[in-house]
Amino acid sequence: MPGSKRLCVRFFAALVLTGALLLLSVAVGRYPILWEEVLEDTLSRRVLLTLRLPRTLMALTAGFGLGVAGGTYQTVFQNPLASPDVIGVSSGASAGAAAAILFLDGGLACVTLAAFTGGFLAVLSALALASAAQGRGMNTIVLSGIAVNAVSQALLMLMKLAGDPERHLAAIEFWTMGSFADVTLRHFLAVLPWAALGLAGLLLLHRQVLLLGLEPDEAHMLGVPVQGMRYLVLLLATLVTGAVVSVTGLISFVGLLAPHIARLITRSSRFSTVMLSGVTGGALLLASDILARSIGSSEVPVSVVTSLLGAPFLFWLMCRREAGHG
Amino acid sequence: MAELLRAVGLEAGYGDRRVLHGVSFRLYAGELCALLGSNGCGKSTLLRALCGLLPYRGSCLLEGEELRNLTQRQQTQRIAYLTQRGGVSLSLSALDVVLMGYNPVLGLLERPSRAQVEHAKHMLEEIAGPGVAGRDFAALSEGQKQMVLFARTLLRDTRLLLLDEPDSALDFPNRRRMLSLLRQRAQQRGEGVLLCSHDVNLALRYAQRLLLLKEGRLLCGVRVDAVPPAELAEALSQLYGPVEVLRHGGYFIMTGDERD
Amino acid sequence: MKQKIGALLAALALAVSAAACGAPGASVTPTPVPAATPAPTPAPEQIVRPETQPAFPATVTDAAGRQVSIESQPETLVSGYYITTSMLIAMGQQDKLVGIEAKAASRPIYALAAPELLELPNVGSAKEFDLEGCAALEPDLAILPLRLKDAADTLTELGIPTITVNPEDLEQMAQTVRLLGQAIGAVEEAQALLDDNQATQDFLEQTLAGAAAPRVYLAGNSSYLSTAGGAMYQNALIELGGGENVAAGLTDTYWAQVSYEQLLSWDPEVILIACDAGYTREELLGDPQLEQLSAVRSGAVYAMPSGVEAWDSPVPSALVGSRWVASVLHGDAYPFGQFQADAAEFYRNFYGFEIDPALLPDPLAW
Repeated sequence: MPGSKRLCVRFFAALVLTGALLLLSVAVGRYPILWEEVLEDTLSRRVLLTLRLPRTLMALTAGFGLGVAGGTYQTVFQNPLASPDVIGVSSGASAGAAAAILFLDGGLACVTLAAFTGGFLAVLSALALASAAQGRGMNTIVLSGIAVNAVSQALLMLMKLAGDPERHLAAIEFWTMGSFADVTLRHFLAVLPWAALGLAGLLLLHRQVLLLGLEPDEAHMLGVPVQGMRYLVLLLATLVTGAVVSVTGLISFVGLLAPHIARLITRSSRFSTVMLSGVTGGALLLASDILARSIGSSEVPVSVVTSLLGAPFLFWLMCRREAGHG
Repeated sequence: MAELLRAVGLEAGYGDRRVLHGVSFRLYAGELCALLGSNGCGKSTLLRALCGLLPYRGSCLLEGEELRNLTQRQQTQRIAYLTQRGGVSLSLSALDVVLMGYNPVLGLLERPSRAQVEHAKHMLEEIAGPGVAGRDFAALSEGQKQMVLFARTLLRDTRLLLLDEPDSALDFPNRRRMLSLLRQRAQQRGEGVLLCSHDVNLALRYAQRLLLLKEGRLLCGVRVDAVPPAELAEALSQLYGPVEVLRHGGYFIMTGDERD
Repeated sequence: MKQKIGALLAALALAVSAAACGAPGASVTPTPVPAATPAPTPAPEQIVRPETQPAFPATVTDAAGRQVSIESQPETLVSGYYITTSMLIAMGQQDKLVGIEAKAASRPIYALAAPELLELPNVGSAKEFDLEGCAALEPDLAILPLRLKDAADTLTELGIPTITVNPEDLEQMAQTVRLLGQAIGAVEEAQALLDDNQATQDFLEQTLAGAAAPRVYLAGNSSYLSTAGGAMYQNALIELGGGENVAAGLTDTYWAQVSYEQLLSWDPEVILIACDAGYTREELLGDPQLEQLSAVRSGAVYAMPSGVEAWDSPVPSALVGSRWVASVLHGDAYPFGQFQADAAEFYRNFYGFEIDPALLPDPLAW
């Protein structure tokens, strides 16, 4: 089919773009790495291995993970605007991080763990509420998510109120804007297994995820154990989101944007689209992070860049689609 | 003919609201049976109970086995169900939508085989017409969507087909094609088909038997070719008010009774 | 079984808290110097001090309890915290700085004492520390606030010796000065600063002995309905200056919000406005809710000068802030003119600039 050939070309183009951004991200940074020295034990080599490479790989992993997880949320919630916020992942993680910053005067490891726990607890309580309410359909979960979201927001506000503006508040605010500035090899290696586990699960269960996008009755009669599968898939997506967000802080827009771009390109929701969501997310975050660390005299929060970069791109794709191209 | 499905004193509903009040009937292999009734009489509820989607009281035997004792996988391997509203809201090719029909016979992580993909393409082409396979399901017309979902329902060799108003958005030719295909499947493969519809004339034309449901109770079952028009009219008028059934070239047609 | 688990948990908790308590604040362990050659007999009061300087290689214990070895006297420094940057200026070490914290322009002391610092690359803030930027400067020693402990660990991994500091009160400030002196080989300069601080403290105690302490309310810089309680450095600032903090009973560790009612019931005799306040003295005086306050009726509302350094934080010149409070509260015992002269002397001695009297306006002149 000519359509699939064109798809291959686009997919290849996306991969090449991501590869190029990957190289650029390794090359660009505050520290002038001397490439002829990286084979020996020099500061250049240590900066490359402890900072630059982990940061680059983290941006790629985060983008890929958020893209795939975002697509999953959109499918399962049957809502093109769904994002981790819907079931309280983000606000739960924020509340967790804030608690660590405030009460444990948190080192990064501590904040990471707390954010992860917070996000996960929020989703678990949303799902528990939903099943306690015995409601059918996605609405119950979304409503429970909104309730959990509200509670986490309230906790977050309380903690902000109790926090010391200079020390805590700033750290909390900054956490909610996301950054790769303090990613080191240790952080990357700490969250990689979780993100990989969640991603592997989501990719393997990809067909089941699509089936969850149907009406519950329809999915049930196509052999999907709807309730259990829904929970499993949401937990996997939360695992990915939580793992990423716990290290980088909240990164807005990528999870929403990447799957849309991928779908606008492929016009499909097949496995290739899911992969493309991931690749798109990775490219978007790599590009954003490169800009975040090079446009100002100090680092710019990465969410600022993802939004400024992503929104016009999405709009452009929408216009092209309306005009009947591609 | 072998008995495929037997419901005895079936009761089901939502929460405290009971919709079905003791429904009993049988469905035989090779039979196309139309379930008629006005809006809200419990047709969809009955189909959902027969699918195992709703808990029920009473008994419902699928090939001699109590439905509720079967696992979801066993149920879905034997029953194909077409819902009133098919909900693929994502961009997905029509072929991918049809291929979902194989899920009950695939392992959790298994993908459809090449042969299954070929079969699905063939089925889709036969039912929805050529060129639909690669198109975005979400961009199809409502009628085309129904035909694609219909193709998905017929994809596997299931013993029992339950269809909930599968023809609501179809034009006349497609409606006839759907019904005649169902009739053909029933006769050639011995599948049992239970179909909800509001198109009484199409039911009279293709179904062997009518089940008339009113307010959650089964009024009666009538064999279409075994009773005179007057008796059919009497049965149908319990649902639709005064009607007249005319014989036309070997088939029956129902019209409103113009006498009053 | 349950009891066992309980016992286990208790043991664990004990172990954890013991470990936490075991972590010292900032303390200095100089590498032992062989006492073979008879050293010149030190003056009696110098015995407690570290002896001959510089003593490198040295091992210091930082505020996080990390042991940091410093091979030779650092020639280049990065300071990621305004308090340590200011301390380094006060110790005459500003020429060694190759990078400082972000937003340096908001600290007037740099422009006054070491304008060249404003040209240095910044290594980010406590919110977002620029690891690569710091590595690119390849300093011999990096100094970070305690809350950047993770960044400190990473820099250490990269091979850049890094110490953390936590100057939150006068005692910790003194520890920090001592730690810095040891780590950069400026023990004498550190001691000079500490001696001066001690002298100021003693002087204030003597001068104000016996004077009645007026009830003082310190209005926070974000809103005059916020104040510092007894657990904060600002409490010491007021007490050293011969005042009684009306909010001393508050246990908050950061600026606490207070209500009008609370403030009215405290009825302070004097209101001091913290440095860099986001409102003016006139706004406070014009607030109809406050017109019954003794301090407002008598006009005893004074804004701390912000043009030099934030005296209401544990910076090296924090005691100049206490002098200012003393001159405001006890002008008879410690006239404002004397304060101006003492402050000028302090900045002349430690920061090497002549202060413009306009930066220290007489608060009683309003």
